[in-house]
Amino acid sequence: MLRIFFGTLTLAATVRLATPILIASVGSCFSHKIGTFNIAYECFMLFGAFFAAYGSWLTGSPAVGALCATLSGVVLAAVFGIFVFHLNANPMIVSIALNLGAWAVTTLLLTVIWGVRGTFISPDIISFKPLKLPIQGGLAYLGEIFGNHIILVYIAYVMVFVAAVLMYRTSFGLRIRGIGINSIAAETAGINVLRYKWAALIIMGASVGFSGAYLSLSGLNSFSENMTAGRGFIAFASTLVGDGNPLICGAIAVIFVYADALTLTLTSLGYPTQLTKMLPYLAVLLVLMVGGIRNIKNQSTI
Amino acid sequence: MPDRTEYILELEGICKHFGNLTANDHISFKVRRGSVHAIIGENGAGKSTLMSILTCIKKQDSGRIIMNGKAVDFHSPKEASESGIGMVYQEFMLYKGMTVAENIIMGCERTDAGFLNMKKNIKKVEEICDSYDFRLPLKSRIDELPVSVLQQVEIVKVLYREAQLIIFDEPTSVLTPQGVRGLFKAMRELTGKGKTILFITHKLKEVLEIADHITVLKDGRVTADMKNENVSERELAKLMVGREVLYDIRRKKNRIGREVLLVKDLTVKDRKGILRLKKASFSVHSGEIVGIAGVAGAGQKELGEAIVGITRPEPGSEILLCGEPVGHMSIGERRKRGLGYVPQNRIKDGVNLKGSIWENTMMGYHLEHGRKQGFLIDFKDVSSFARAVVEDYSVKIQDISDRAFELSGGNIQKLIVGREMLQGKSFLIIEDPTRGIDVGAIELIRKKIAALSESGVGILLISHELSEVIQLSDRILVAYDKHIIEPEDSSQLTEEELGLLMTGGGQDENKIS
Amino acid sequence: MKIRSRDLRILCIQYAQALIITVILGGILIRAQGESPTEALKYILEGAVGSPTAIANTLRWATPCMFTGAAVTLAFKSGIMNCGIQGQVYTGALIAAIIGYALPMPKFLHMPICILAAGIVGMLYALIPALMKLYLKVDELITTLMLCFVATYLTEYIVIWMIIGEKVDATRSMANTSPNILETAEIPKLIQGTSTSYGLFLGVAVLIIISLVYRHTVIGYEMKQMGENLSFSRAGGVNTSKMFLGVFLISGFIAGLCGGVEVTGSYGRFNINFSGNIGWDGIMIARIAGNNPLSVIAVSLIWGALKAGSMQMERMTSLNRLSVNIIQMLFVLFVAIDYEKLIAEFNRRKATAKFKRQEEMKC
Repeated sequence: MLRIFFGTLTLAATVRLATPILIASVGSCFSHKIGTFNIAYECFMLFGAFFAAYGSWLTGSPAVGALCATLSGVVLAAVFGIFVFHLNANPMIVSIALNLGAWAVTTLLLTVIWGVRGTFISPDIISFKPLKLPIQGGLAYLGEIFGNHIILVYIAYVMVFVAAVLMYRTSFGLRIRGIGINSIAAETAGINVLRYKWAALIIMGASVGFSGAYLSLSGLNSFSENMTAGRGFIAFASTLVGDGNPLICGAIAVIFVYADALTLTLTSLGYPTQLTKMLPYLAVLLVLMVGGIRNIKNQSTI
Repeated sequence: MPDRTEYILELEGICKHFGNLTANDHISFKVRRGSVHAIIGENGAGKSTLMSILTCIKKQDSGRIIMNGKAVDFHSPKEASESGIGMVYQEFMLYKGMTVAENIIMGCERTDAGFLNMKKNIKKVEEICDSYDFRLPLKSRIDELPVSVLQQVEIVKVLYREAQLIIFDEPTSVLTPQGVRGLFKAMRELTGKGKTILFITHKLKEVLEIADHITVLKDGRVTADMKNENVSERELAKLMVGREVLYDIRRKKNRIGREVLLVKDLTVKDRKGILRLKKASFSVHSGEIVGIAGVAGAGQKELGEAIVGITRPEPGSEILLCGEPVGHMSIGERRKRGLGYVPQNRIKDGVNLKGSIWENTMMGYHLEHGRKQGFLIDFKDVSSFARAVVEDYSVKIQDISDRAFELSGGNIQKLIVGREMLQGKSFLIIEDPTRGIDVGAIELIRKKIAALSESGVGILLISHELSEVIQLSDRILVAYDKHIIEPEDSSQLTEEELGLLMTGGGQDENKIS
Repeated sequence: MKIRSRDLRILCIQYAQALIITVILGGILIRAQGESPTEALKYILEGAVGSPTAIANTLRWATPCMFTGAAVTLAFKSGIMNCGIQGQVYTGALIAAIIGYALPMPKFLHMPICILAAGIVGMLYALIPALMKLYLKVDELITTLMLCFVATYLTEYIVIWMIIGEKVDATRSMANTSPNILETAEIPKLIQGTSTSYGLFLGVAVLIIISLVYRHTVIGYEMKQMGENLSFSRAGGVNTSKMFLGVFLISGFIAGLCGGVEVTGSYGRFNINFSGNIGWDGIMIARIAGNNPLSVIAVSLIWGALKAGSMQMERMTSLNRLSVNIIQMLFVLFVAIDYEKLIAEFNRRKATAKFKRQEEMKC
């Protein structure tokens, strides 16, 4: 039992699989705090995954792939921003249209560029190489968990702290939070609200797009249709539950991903994948329920 | 310090249009440095538009702003603020959940290479507080502070930006008479240190007390511009409204009838579980207007919500409507038993801006009227009710299928008041019925309230406008620090005495009823 | 009550503008793939209305759209973010399939019971987020989203491990369906030899009922007010908690019906993950229809036509049918623009400019 829950296999998988969720959720803390409603995570991430694979396939460099992923996220965020900020479109509808559109566009590009349906696997898509961290001796347990990951994994964890500093220790973060609480007040205080909204949105687009790079460049050398498979929504859930505080969001994301990592271990032990795959989503529901229990006595209406 | 011209600000021919509406029509006047300059006018006279032009929230269509003798052309609120114009807004521009210090520095932070240096920031704020004699708890959260302190936070915020010209937008509307005195003291302190104050208000007494110079606006134009010497309140009122205003509504004593509302030991906690009202007990009879005075946050809001049924009171509380306990009932059931409610926040709770006029007037009315076969809408009944509201309360619309967002604030308020009053209720809660609406609408609504009580309806009037409470009420209760107090001979109290009670001073011997 | 001409004009501008932009962008998209847009359009029309079979296909694909469109309209119009239509459809569909194949019943009972059970299960599945919102104050948007995924995997698990069970190897990916339902459980076909059933009329009926409820009943009035301003309707005496629960459950019920009709009317069994985007489609259809139940019928027909037509297009040209999906998304994007606000802004600027000119002339 202990082996399942705390075995290096599970924990290393948690550390690894948390990467895309962490990057996406932490990056979108800013747009959450500033009050922009956006659930187009799947869209940004899927495009990120596709263009990471494409960039890497073209140039043979995973770094270029990751760059392409980030840029695609930025471009899509710009589309979202134009519709929502300037054309007053309902952000929910725009998000859904983008999510579905992303699925259609990437699948179409898959057939147009590589002429395959479903999945494209190629040795020409170069993945990031794992870094061997020199953790040895008595720390072998930790070494197995934290060593031997690709660079993106470490970037993700660094990002959590960078985002936290940016949010709570800089004037940029202060203003973002201020706008989210009272944008009219911020406007009168001489803050260019729209500019900050754009900045937050671009950060979100860039990081969610970047997070997609992990999916296709972490060793599978492939891109497949609807590759994100709900990961974007898990990232959305962790941002929401953590209320835009990067540290809390990061911690929540790790909890969710832990459930995901259990999937791997449990499946290898013969549990049905269908049941284990539900775990992350059930974990989200559970966390929401626990968080909501303090409201149970509050009998006022909705 | 820039060159010290005699006038810090000069406006020349400022015009601003919104579509076909002319909000500012060639406004020109000069503001002397170091003075308190009052701008008066009723709601809709163009005061707010003018101020948003000064702070560059909006841009004038034509005309010039001259500061310190030089014409300026602001492109953003930041530029206006940098050139020395600061504004203390009526609706405070604060960030809930943040500390006082964060509120003050927002948008103008001192940083080291992009990183906040809170120590440096706080030191600077403390210096300002010291030099102007403000005492602020810089590290407390804004949510925990009373209104008068919040206003000081706003003032320090403006000073922190090194404003030379400070605009106060209706600053006294949230304060007790004692609070007003404190504010005026602070204003004098500020002008004594070389700041200039632009004081926007519609309260004439205050203008006469504090202002050095008075500019009157009416319908977007300057109708008078004079020194505050030998001016009478009556004269000013005439300039402001164009006719003599008779706010004085003579009320004869109604015959007091049966008890329509009885509240016993009402204890209310808010959503966060904080105690807001403790063991309040009082009653309202038919034909009687009972006013509740109190500074914002003293528990009167929660009192209204508990009686209406929006929040559920703590166990042990009793609310009786026409002799029937209603504590366990939903809002709808209470309304069916004769409760009417004019909420304080009319945009949030009182009206559906997206809906049509008839949909808006139907709300509440639909619980018992306007139905066919119990579940179908009787359009004939509903539209005739809508027309009745519109006509009786002179709401300016073209058709009852117009949408509510096309109406002005005053018309929306008339619509809400009309809707609640015409439903033939036996008891009405009215919160701030005349806040932020024009003189005509104020007069109409106050008259209607008086007339309604004459017809035998019991009314609970919760208002921040002390003069309104005094003028209309038969009895006055005071909300202070979670308690509802009933002073003796309450109808004889003056504004000052009431203000003292609202802040917990005086009449200690009063029973907490 | 009457619709004002100004509102109508804005509506026309909105749709016309969105259509024009979409047609242009769609043309470019098709051209970029080396095909002629007119040719593509021809095949789409051919596949949608070109023959009785084509029309049957259109109607077949329009049917689920009507149900999900109705479920979304109902929920969103009352301000309830039910994004879990998908989950409610799947759970409903599964129960219909199980009752359909496992419980032999007389013909007049079997089919209605299947559909009704589907509705009820969909409703129960919607009860979870509804109660979480009412008692725990958890935002229903996120819970319904998560429950979508849970439902997808749960139904998959039940089909593979409990229904197919020992009969086949679980890792076999081909065994993805439940057994075929009995003939007694099938909805009669509208057009023989196609998968278009009388379920279509059930969808239309649901939408007409919803429309009547909104227009003529007090409950409908309360539902609409609640969606437009919650605290206003609460202060006005609407029992918002009860209403929230009721509307949420009915929305789930209709979504469940969708699943039931899909299984008993078209598929004849439960296919795992049989319709990946049905819930999202519902949201978009409701949005394009402007949350108007009757327009949902029209938009669903267009949606069905595009789906049927895109298949024909794919057969006849080198174009992928996803191109049509992309064009649909573009249309949704452009319809979502708030033209009313833009027009108001434009008019205001024009008036101000006019005034400025007058001022200058005076000077």
